[in-house]
Formats: sequence, C-alpha cells, structure tokens
Amino acid sequence: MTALLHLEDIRTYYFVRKGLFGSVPLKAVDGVSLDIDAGETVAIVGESGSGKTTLGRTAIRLLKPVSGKIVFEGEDVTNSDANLKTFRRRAQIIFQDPFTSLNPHMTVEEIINEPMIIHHIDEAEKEIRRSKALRDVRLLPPDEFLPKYPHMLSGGQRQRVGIARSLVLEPVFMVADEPVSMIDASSRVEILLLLGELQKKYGMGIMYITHDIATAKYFTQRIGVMYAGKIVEAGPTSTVLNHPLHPYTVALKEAVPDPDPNNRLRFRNVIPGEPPNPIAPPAGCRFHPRCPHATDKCGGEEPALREIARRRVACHYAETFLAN
Amino acid sequence: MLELSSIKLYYRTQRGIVQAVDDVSFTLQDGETLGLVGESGCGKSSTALAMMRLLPRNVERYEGKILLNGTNLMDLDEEAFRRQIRWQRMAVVFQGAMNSLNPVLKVGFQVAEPLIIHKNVEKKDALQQVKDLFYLVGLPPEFTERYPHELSGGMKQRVILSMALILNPDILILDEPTSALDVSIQAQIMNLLKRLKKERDISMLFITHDIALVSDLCETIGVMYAGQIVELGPIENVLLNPQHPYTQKLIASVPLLREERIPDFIPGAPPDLVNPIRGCRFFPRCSQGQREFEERDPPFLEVETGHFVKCWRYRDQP
Amino acid sequence: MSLSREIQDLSQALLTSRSGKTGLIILAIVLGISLFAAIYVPFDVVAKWNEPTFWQKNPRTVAPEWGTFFINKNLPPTLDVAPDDFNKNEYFVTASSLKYVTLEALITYNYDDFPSELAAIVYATYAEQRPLVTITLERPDGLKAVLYRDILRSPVNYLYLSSDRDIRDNVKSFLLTLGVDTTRTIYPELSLFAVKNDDMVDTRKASVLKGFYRIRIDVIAAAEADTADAEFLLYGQVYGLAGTDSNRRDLFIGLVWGAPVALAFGLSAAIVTSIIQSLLGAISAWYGGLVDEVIQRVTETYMILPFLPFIIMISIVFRVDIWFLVVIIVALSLFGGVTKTARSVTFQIMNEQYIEAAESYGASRRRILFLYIMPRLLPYIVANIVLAVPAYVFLEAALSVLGLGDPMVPTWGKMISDAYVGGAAVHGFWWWILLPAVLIMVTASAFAFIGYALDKVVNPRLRER
Repeated sequence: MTALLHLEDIRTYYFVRKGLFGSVPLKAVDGVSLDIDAGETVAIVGESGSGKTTLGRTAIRLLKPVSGKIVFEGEDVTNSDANLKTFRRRAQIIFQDPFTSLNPHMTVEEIINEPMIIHHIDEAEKEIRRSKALRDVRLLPPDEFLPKYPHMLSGGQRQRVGIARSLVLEPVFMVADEPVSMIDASSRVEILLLLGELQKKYGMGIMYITHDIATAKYFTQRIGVMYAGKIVEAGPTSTVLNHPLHPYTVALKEAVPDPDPNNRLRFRNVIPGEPPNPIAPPAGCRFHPRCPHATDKCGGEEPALREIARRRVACHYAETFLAN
Repeated sequence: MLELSSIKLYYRTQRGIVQAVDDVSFTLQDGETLGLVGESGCGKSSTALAMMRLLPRNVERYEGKILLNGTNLMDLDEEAFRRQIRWQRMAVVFQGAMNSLNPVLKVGFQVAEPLIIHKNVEKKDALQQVKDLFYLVGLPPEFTERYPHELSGGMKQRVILSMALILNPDILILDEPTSALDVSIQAQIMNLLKRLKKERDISMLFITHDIALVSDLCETIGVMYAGQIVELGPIENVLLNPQHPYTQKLIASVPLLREERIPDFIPGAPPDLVNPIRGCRFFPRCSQGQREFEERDPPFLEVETGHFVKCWRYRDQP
Repeated sequence: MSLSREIQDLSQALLTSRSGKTGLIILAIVLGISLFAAIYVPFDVVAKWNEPTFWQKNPRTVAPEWGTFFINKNLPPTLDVAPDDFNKNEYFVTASSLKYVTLEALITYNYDDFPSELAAIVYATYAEQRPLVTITLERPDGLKAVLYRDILRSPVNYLYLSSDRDIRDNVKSFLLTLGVDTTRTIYPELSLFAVKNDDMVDTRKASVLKGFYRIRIDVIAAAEADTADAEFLLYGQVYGLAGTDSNRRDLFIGLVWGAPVALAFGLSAAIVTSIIQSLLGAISAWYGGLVDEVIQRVTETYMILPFLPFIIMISIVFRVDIWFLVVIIVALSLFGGVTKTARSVTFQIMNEQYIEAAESYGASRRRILFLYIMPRLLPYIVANIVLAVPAYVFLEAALSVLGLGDPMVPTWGKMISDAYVGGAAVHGFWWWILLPAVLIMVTASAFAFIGYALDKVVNPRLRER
C-alpha cells in the first residue's frame, strides 16, 4: 500500500554566512525517512534544534530539501512545480502561534476565503465550504464569526479559524506544527480532540509536531523522536512511550513533570548538557556526548535506525536496554 | 515573613481599565516556596510586578498591604524601596529574562553590577563573589568572561538566576523561569532550584502556568483565575484533593505520561478583565455552578487547615 | 480587503492625543483657508497676480490695518472716493457752446498720518474735442490748492498727483504763496494735508491737518453730450488684513491662495514619494536576491547625489512651473531613505506566520505583497507622508527664495522671495516676510503634531499595554 506521504532520506539544510564569501550548511534535517498513511496521526517529538519544525515545513514543501524525495499520493513533488498547485490543495499546515498566523487585516470570512480564491473555487461553493469549515471547528453560529477580526477572538478561537482555513481546500494531509503550545493548558485538549475528530471524519493523515510528548501519548498512533536532525526512535506511540529504548527518549520521558507532590523531595534524573550545534554535530551518534551509556564505539560510528522490539531505534546498544 | 493583603493593580488601556490583580492575599513563610499557578491573563505576572513595584506607566490603581517582616512596603517611597528592598530583600527572574542580558557586556560584569552599585564592593571582589555564585548554579567560573551570545539558553537562565541571587535576597520571585526552555533543560533548572532551596534556605514565589511543574518545588500552591486567587493551600491538599472546580479541571487537563487518564478540558475562555462580572468569575465555565453564584463575589473560605477556596459551594462549611 | 483596523488605530491615535488634536485643528484651519480661497479669491488668480493694473488702487508696500494696534497711531487706510460719491452738476451754456461739469466730493480726514499717495481718475466721454480739467483741493483751513489744469489726453486718465512733475510744480507754487521754503523735495500727499506752518514740507515734522477736505473737479467740454466722472484715491498707510507688496498686490490674497497651493504641493509630493519609496522597499525585501541588490544600490546612488544642484540645473535649462516642479522633485525622490526603512519593516513583516501560511495555501508572491504586506506598511506610510509634507512645503519655499520656483504662482515661498528682492528686510516691511513665514511654519507644525500623534501607533515600542 502506498503511503499518503513518503519522505525518503530528507536532508534540509539552511545556509549560514561565514566569513566574507563562504557559507556553512546548518543541517537542520539530516537524513529522515518517514511514511504517513491516511487516517493516522504521527507525532514528531523533539526539542529545539531537533529539526522537527524544519521537517514539517519540508513535508509540505514550504522548504526545499537539498536531497531526498517527497512522494505524495504516489507523485514526486520534491522539486517539480508542475503538480505543486494540486499539492498545495491537498496538503495543508496549521501553525503554532494563533496570534500571528492570521492576517490581522482580514475578517474571518476573508481569511477563510483566501485559499479558495487562490484556487478558483466559485462563489456558491465558497459559501458552502465556509459554513462547513466553521461548523467543523465548532465556531457557531458561523455568521457571528465571519465578520470578526482576529484581535476580537480568543487564542483558542483563532486557532480554530486557522484550522478552518486549512479545511476549506479539503486536504488529505495536514501538518500540525505545535498547534496547542501557545494555548492555555485547559483548552488544549479541546483543540486536539477536534483535530482527532476531523481526522476521523475526513480520513486525513496528520503529522503532529510537538515538544510535549504527553499530548502525543493520547492523540497519536505512531511517534518519531528526533534529535539533532535525525530520528532516533520511531514506532507505535504506546510501545515507544511505555518502553522507550533510546537513552534520549528515556531522558525526555524522565524530564516531563507530573502533578505529584512527592516530586518536591526528589531530584530528577537529567542528562547534562544541551543539544548540539546543527552546524557541527558530534561525530558518530549525535547523542553520545550527553548519553550516560556512551562508549567509544558511539563516538566513532553512527548507529543506523534498525527494527527492534516492534519499533525502530538508532542506538548501538538498544538490545541491552531491552532487558530492563 | 511576607504577607500580601488585598493587593490591587489595575491598568489603564485603550479598551478601559483592566483589573489585572484584584484583591490578592497570601503569606510566604521563611524558607517556603509558594507556587502561583494560572493561565494567560490570570494576573500572576502582574502580582509579581506589584510586589516588586515595577509598574508600567499606565497604572490606574495600586493599593493593598505588603508586609515584609512587619514593615509595610507600600509605605516606603520610591527611592527607599529602590535602595532597601528591590533586589536586596526581593529579587525577580522574569520569563525570557535571558533575552534581556546586555549583549555588549560580559556576563560576569552584569551579574556583579548590583554588588558594585548597591554594596559598594570593589570590582575584583565582586567578580569573585560572582564566580562563587556561578559554581552554585552550575556554571564554570570562567564563564564570567563570556558574552551572552556565547551562551546557550539554559546557561543564560543560570546567569539570570545568579544576578537575582547576588545580593542575597530573602525572597526570590521566579516568573515562568523555564517556559522558554526545552523540557530537558527545564528539568536541569528545576533540579538546580531544588538544590538552591536546600542549600540557601531562601523563600521563593514560583509563578507558572504549568500545574505539573509546581509540584517539583512548592510546599504551598495558589491557583489564580481572572485576577483572583481561587484556591490556596498545601500542595498535597490542593493537588490530591482540589476543591475549586477550576483547579479540579486544570489538574484534569494535564495529559499524564506515566498514568492512563484521558485528559479533560474547560470549554470557553477566561473573562475579559476590563469589566469583570460581579459574581463568581469562573461561573460561566463551571459545570458545578448554581445561578445565584453569579450575583456576588464568592468569599475566601477555609475548608481545612490552611486550605482556602474562593467558591460559593463551600459556604455552609463551619 | 479592508484596512479599517489600521485606519481605526490611526484615527484613534489622532483623536485622543493632545498633539494629534492640536495638529488636526491647525490643519483644519489651513484647509478652511484653502476653501475660503476657492470662494473668495478671483478665479484666475495666477494671471491676476502678475497683472499690475489689477492692483492699481492699492497702496504700495503698506502694513496691514491691524498693524496700527501696536503703534497707537490712527493710520489712514486707502480712501477711494468713487464716482458715485461725487456730487455732479452739469450744465450747457448755449451761448458759448460750452459744457460745464462740476464734480465735488467731501472727504473727512481725521487720521494721525498722511496718505501715502494721491491719485485722481477722470473718466470723460467726449465727441471730438478733449475737455479741460481743473482739480482743486480745499483744505479745512480754507486754503485752496489747484493741483491740475490741463487738457485730458484720453477717455480714462490716471493722474498720479503725488508723482506727476507738473502737478508737483503746481503744489510747489501753492506752497510758495504760503511762504514756505520749497527748496527741498515736495511731497504733495504730505504738504497738502499738513498743518500750515514751516514744517509742512518736512516729512518728519509735519503734522496732519484734520478735518473736512473738499475735492473739486471742473470740466469744460465742447459738446453738450460730453460728460465726465471722477474718482479720487487717497492711498493709505495701511491696507487690508495682510498689507501690500511693492507691486501694490493685496498680500491677503496671496497668503490665502498660498494655502491650497502649499497643501497640494506638499501632499502630492509627499504621498507619491512615500508610496513609491515604500513599495520599492517592500519589493526589495520580499523578492530578495538580485532585485534586492539592484534596488538597494540604486537607492544608495540616489541618496548620494545632491538634490539641490540638480534642481538648479534643471530650472536653468527649462521653464519651471509648479506642477513640473512636483514632477521633478518626485523623479529625484523615487528612491530614498524611506526605501531602506520600508525594507527593514518588510523584513519583520515577512517573518510573521500568516505570510508563511499564505504561501502554504498557494498564494502567489504578488498577491502576498499587495494583500498581506502592503496593508501592514500602511501606518508607516501614512506617518511618512505626514512627516514629509512639511519638508516639501519648506522645499518649495526654499526653491522660490532661490529663484528656482514657479515665477507666476503666488506661493508663500514666492512671497518671501519677492520680499527679499524688494528689500523688505532693509526697509522694514515686516508683514511681507513675517506673514508668509508664519503660515509656512504653522502648516509644517500641524503635520509635525499629527506625525507625533501617529508615531504612537506606528512605533510599537511606544504603545501602552
């Protein structure tokens, strides 16, 4: 079965000026392969510098990879502009910041109309899709919201407008880039449930990018953990989160706080240091300078992503962690 | 040791008067860490500003009592407050403070500056104190010679922490000290704060929107909503037996990594603080409310020792 | 596409701040003057401004009427004794076949100072032979002076009683009969109205003889149908609301007319240059790459080249009228400092997520530029326009003073230039310089106030929470 979106060995670099004439590549995404099927949500989890945001942008070709392939619905869209217009209809993105992702000069109606205007959808159809989109995101009654400007809405409402905007072109694939990080904690789940509902209703494939692995647990089927531009562990969400094998995944999990008063009395098991500089990542396994289990082999040879215990891990010693 | 009574801070804006902090009261004992939890617009950051008297130009109303070991800080004039209290008895670490480091000065000098200005310490001695402090916060002492752009986010936050601690204040206010940081760095900083607490015996006010994070550090927790404290008490009581409907829902909306519990949410949004309603401010979103709750502001009732709730549902408690 | 949010912000900033209100009030006054100009000022003011005969009945370089307020002297305004004011008596003597026309008018003169000039206009209709005209002035003290006795030369005769040599000789004879020393220059407008004493010819010591004066014009014509009318002008020491210049032009008309010209000039130049420069800056930032390089280098070249020498050269070679001047200024200001700052502002806007969102749903670069980016630049453009207007108003004034502007249109700058050429500073014609200068400054300050109020909106750091 062909995946909805097939990313093959994607490398996306930014070029940073160095000295008078030269430039150095900032290897934001450095060899990621991933498949996403219709009807499933895949979480991409990582911290700053992991490359998850860049991966999301590359997946819908807002950024061009320097190498690798993006295959969408069986067609290669990596470089050609020929089928770009169709791709732009069927693949959409939701952004993180509800405050800046909507044009402050346009009313909700105009914002939602924009994609339809660009893709030449006729007036009657526009109206139908507009009301449907607003109803889908539960901004009811639609007529009350259409003439409003973004600054008149709350953060959660704005995010819903952003989602509605991405629905009107009837996409089959969506990248959700940290869609709830800037929303109050008590409203996040509402948006995530909404996304889940929309996915079921329209059979979309969703790439859910986040730094909050706890949300990944409840709203995604598969998860990929990124570190320094590469995927270090990937597989079914419950498998990876309940029994993580890669030391980084373990550390991430350990770092997440939960509301337990006993936390006050104990120190967390944290890994020292910071994520590496994407211009000059460490040799071998990129995590080895911070890994409590690192050996010389880790500094010399980069581990491949291999299949173990129903998921893929990039670690030389993954088997040894299985035993725990 | 620190007692806030009926603090009010209102701002004048284009839309009207925002009642950002509306009658907030709590106490902070020596060596205690109080967590102030709330979501955007609840007034927790404004409470910190009110305590430090770092007021913007458009203040409409600023009143109440702040008793620090018996002295009412509100009685002090601006100059006295600046010379005696600000930074020396109370210091603050703001959200994203690491971005306000002066990029053209070495960090060692920036941390030493309060010492040189307030305590007239010689530059050399001051830098030595800074190095000692860097050791405490987990930075190599030679980092005093570095510039801010040479440090990562976590390192900068440690520098900011040193800057707040350099004059040995009695009270440290931390306003979302880790929100701009990655989860693993956040864990490091939280460990550091725990160690600080143990070694320095300093009182802290820890402000955050993350109710899971407060349990890492705080003995007492206060939950804020729409400019008011709606629940206040020992953390064990509040987290394990929350009484206010907002607190209950807030805790329930945290997705748990280590347990299975489908997280909850609160529909709607916090009220506009320009013209707050007369009655219970959470009423429009509360699933346990009754109609008369929206008529008058609920009282602050003690439901068990040291555990207070601002809710009409407990009005019949003894 | 609506820009209402930005316009709302801007208007709110203007209407609620003190400087905004001040600026708007001043601007409203200037606009009011412009409207007034449209109604009051003669339609072809530019032509009339350059036609000396239109202004003949005004005195030359006199101060405004309210100037007397400061001096405490009751200075005489221009008294125009119109033909209708004369008592006309005409009769035909058949025996001698002569027509006699007598025109008499009474003038009340109670001012503290002398007229600046005297003139008489005789309108005669005659068949063939030109009539003989005698003009006599009877003073309150009973003395009579014959000012003119001669044959008219044409149907309309403008007789400058102050400067005509023959008339002056007549006045001189009159004074001789009074026994006054006539060796010095005789000023008829002075002596005829002076108290009879040895000082009557002294410009500094003569005192005014107040009272009723009678002007009498006797016409002897050849045919019965012949007749005549007269007009007598005592040119005052003050005139109107703004005085006059050396060409007798009523400065009030010039000042009033200058308002719409200044506004139109300033606004058109400011609007066109601001919009073009901002658009170029936005294009430069948005399209980037080679386009950016080219636009920036051209901008820098423009900024280095000297503005004034170019305009001087152009106005030497071509005849410059005011709208051509606007075109030249705009052409020399297509690229400028605003291009660079608009580029910076655009860079900030470009990084906003809704721009990225637009790309993601397939918006073309051009659509994003005009529908997403330019509206965000609007407050910045408006502020720029407002601050540029005074610069252009001053520029026009400076160019006029240098003699480079439009020589025909009465602008404030041109008036100052004329004043300079006419020696206003040397001779003390304060109104000629002061009034246009004040108006330029007031108009410029209106825009400065407005710009200051708008700054609060445009500059986000000044915004309150």
